[in-house]
Amino acid sequence: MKEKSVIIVFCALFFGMFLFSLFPKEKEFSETENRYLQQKPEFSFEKVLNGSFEADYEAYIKDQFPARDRWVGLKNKFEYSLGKQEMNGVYVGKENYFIENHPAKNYESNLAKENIAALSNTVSRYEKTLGEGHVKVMLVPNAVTILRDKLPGHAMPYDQMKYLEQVKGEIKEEEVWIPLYETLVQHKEEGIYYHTDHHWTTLGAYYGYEQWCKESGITPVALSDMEQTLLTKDFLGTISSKINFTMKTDEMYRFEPKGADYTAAYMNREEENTLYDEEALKIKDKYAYFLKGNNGLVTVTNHNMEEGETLLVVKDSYGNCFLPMIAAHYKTVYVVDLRYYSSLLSESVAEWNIDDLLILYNVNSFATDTYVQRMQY
Amino acid sequence: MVFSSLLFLFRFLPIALFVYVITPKKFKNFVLFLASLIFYAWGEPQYVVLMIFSTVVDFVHGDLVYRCKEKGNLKAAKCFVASSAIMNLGLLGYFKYSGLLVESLGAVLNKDFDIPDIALPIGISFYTFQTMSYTIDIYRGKCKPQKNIIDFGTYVALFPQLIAGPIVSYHQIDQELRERKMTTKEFYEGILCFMAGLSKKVLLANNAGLLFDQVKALGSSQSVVAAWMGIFAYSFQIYFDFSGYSDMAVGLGKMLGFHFPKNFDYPYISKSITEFWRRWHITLSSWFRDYVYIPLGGNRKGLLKQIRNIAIVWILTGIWHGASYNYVLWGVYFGCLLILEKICLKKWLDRIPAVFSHLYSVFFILIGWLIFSFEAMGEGMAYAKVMFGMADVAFANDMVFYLLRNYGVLLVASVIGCTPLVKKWVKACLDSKKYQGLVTVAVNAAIILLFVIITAYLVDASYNPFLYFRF
Repeated sequence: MKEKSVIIVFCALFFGMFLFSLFPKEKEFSETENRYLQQKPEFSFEKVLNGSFEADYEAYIKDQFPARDRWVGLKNKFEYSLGKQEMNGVYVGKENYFIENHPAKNYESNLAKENIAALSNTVSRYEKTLGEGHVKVMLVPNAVTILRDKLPGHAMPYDQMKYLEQVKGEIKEEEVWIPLYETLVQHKEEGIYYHTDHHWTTLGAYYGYEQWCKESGITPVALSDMEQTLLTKDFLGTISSKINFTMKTDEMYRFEPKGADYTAAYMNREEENTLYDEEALKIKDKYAYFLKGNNGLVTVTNHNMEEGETLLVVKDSYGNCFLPMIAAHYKTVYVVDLRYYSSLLSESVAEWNIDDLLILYNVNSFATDTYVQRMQY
Repeated sequence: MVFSSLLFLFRFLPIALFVYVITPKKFKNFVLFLASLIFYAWGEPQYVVLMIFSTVVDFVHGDLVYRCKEKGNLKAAKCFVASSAIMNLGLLGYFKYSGLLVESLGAVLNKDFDIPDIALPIGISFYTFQTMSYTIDIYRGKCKPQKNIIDFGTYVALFPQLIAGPIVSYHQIDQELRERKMTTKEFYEGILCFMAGLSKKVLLANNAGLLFDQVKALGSSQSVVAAWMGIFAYSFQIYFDFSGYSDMAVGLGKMLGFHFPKNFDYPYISKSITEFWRRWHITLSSWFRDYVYIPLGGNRKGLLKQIRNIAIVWILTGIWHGASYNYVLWGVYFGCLLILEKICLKKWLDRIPAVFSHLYSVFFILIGWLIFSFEAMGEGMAYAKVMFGMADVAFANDMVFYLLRNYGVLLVASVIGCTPLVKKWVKACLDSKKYQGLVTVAVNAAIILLFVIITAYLVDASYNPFLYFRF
């Protein structure tokens, strides 16, 4: 009786899962993972003999496993209930904050050092051509640094400020540096980072913008003069995707100076009269709303100004929600994301006739992104 | 293919098991042989040729040895045993050690040789030892040659024990290759054994490995206590990984009608290193005992010869574990401890209170794993310095509390898992005459629960979110 029942249960589980996973509802793209999934590989003897069929087939089973996202959430909930506070590189912190932990090797790698050199070269080059005070560098510390007191007790992540000190030490032109740490720490209780995403919130970006204004000697648009639009209340970002369970959803806002009138051209296509992608609010990756996600080049024109200066922003996705604010101070802003931009930056700059340059990255992506190298060419 | 993968659990195993069960007895070995070849070839088809080569070599050699012995030509029989050993060891030597050999030669001669880049065929250390044992067993008259090459091929390639043991000598399953039974009771026991092994591997070993990796990467927040936690974690990882694999092999074997020898017997409860090696990877130690130590004279030719024999066996055991000098050092380290215990320590260990002999064993086992875990010995030295407070790090810091909080449950479960407690308790429940209904429900519930959690872990391991947008 006992023996037979165990055999029946065992067979039911393994054969059941076998049959169940044999005909999955195949998905091409995973929204939670933000990547394309392996499709069923085609059988050929040649591929079997060189091992690629086997590799692809195994990847196919993994990628198309039924209810894959829910299994992941289950594993992490199980661990969380057993007292774990960090799963898949994500801290489950206080006040329902999911905070990404970056391994020390992100900042101690050769790439991290080479990126500092690339930045230093770029700054020197454009300070010479644009003149002193026309180049600014803004490296935004990540939530793990600013929201330290929201981390689980006793957690000791890598101290990003050590890396930032190295960056500062390498850059000879001190005036380019926009210090953000103190400002952001001061506002840390106001929700300047998402609970579920690796970006700063639009409010966080506003404080960055304010600091930039201060360092550039410009009067910022006051927070009360920003038109603040609530875009969604149920944003679940990339960090929650890593562990796939939910404690809280985020609100997402957009800030724009009241009465702003922008048009934008994406990747040199025709001008559109919006900086946003309304469709993005319907999908998982809602942050792609700002500047229509990641584009190699966006050219923003400010129609509230007859004549004005031209700014180039070299940025990662932290720049996307930031841009509508800074654009108020220029006639034209060229926004370049080096990961998707194939032309040589120096040639483009020569063509555009820019007055100012802003380099804006979050610290983690600055240290780990190979495309940062491209800014010096 | 590895057992702890979605591919094995939800494709290979159900299909292989189903086909095996419905196949008539006469063809079961053929099905098993074919399944094993697919299991082995998955991902590395070219190396199947090597395994088949080794199979054929020993099939032929076994037959030759037997015939020579029948004719009374012992000398020729000996030659064939030697030729089988040379071919198998040659295979193993070429594929496993030529990189190390060329590198060492270059270092000694102070020349820059091109180091050959040869991928290690999976399981080669296991199956070459098995095929060699066949020819030697025939020479010793322990068994008769197998007449059917499919049956012999089934022995060599048998997928449950192909890639991580236990090392089964031919005479141990000779009988079962010809005639075996699948019974309800054994299938049921096999399931329990398999699930226990799978849980050890996926729930304990993998997570302990995570802790060790995390400790190694601590950098400036490293501390003495964390380093000790790390090496404990590694000890748990290697034990649960290896013994979990053996449990799965034994369990699968039982489902198919085979009885493989026990490979681990709670090694961490040992009270001496001698005892540890009677409990750790038993089939490997037995192999070296039967095919190296005893032929060399064992302990029958005086203490000096015995010490020599122990030394030879342990250098070989070390190098068997991997082509790197830390494994040699590891073997020598245990060889020395065993010789010391043989000469004097053992008597003393038997007399002191059990707590102390246990502490002694755990300490030297941990140091053994420290040597084992770092192939780059410089890194191992640096880690040892941290452990013994000779590096410039704190004794303990916040990180220690953090790791304890995060891995506390795992560490406690691991300590308990290293003792026979769980098995004893489960066995008592299963065998109790009272409450059979309740026990049946409980054991099935436990299997379902473990199945769900293990699946969740395996799916999670393949989950790879990409922060930035697709290119």
